[in-house]
Amino acid sequence: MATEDLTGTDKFVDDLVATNPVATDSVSDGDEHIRGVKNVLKNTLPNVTAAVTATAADLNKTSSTFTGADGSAAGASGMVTAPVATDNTKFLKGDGTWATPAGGGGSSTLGGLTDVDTSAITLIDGAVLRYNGTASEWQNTNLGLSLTPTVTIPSTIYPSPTTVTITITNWSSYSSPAPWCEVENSSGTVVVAASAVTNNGDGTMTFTSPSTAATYTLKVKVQDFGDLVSSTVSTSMVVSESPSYEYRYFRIGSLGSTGSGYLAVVEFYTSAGFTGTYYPPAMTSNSQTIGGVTYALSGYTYNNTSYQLWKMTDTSGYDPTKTGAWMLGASATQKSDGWVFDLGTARDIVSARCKWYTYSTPNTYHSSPFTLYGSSNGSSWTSINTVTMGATNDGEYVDMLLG
Amino acid sequence: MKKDCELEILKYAPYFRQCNAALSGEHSEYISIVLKLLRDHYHSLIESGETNWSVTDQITSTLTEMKPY
Repeated sequence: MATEDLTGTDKFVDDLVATNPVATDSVSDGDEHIRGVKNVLKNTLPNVTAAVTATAADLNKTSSTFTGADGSAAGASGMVTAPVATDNTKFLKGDGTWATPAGGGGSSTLGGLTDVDTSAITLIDGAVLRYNGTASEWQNTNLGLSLTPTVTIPSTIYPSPTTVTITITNWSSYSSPAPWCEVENSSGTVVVAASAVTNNGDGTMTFTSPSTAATYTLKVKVQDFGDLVSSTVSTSMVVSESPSYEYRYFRIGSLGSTGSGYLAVVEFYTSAGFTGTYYPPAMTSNSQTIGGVTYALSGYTYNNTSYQLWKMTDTSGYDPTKTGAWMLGASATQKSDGWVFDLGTARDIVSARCKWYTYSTPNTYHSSPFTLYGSSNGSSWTSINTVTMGATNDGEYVDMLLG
Repeated sequence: MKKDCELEILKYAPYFRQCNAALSGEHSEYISIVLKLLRDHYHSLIESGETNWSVTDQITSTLTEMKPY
């Protein structure tokens, strides 16, 4: 029989010989030939388990090239042009080319970004880029918790209207922090709301102390730019009763040798925050009995017919053209002795304030400190407080007893 | 009388001294004292019904002794 060998797995359609079997072959050899043809078909099409519907034209496209549209004419299907090595981040466009994605400056690496300058950024683990509109720049953020603030509060705090200043001591560790502060009483009720706290922007915050002496809880937290808000720090804040000074005599003395202090108003109050009754009352002479109590003022004043001591008690308001006592021309001893206020009887003084005529705003000449003294007998003096006027403006009250 | 007060002020604090005090602070305490003393004195004269300007010896001696230039 003149037939080819079509047995085994390495026989395919192209192994068929079109002229076999020849006419002289025995019919009894036909089965061998049919098995050979089936073997070749299964070897050639091993995975065809369903009808193949592709047309000859479809199959023939494997040899044609895909062509793109040009905006007016449609393209044609076909084999896609192979990308070259540097086309690895591109996509196949409708015009048949490999193109770079538009916008975003996309890249698989930060260094490959085309619309973000990453050269100056210190990359940290877990960092993401976030645009800071205030700073007009891209910044790293790790979306972590902001640093927990460390807080200090004044060692002594008196009730309202005392101004309390707290300090976040690790303020410099933040890049663009937003602090938050609140004060609660022992029941958890907010007594100083965050909205009543002033952020000074330098790591300090100020608020008016609660009106009642008690132990409170100060709560502080900080949110740094790009980070989650920090843990809340709770600190015990003790507000103590304002101290009182029970004396009959008070003295404003130890005035600095520079300048010539001009004291326009003096008020000693029986309650905190310059409330309650004030002494001495308005007087019209340097020694005067009012309500059965004799008040007396002593000390130097320039030209005591024009600048009388009793004008320091004038309640008609601050009038720098007329009222007050003036150390102009006073000796060093006279400045040291200052002015004495005899309140007639012992008074429980809680707050006190005064006004100086300072010649200028802010104060230029009387920034040197003075001292407030108290005495029960007018001769033995106890220092109560040293007061620095600082840049007090002309006509502003100066607190002599810390509120 | 107001003009007399102004002239008295200029005796101790001429314009250029006042300008310097305002601009640079030079002798500004003395300039301020001159202004305050003489203005206060002017007001006290007005309040007492005076119509003629006069200066007390105390003011004169104070301003003369304090004069730093």
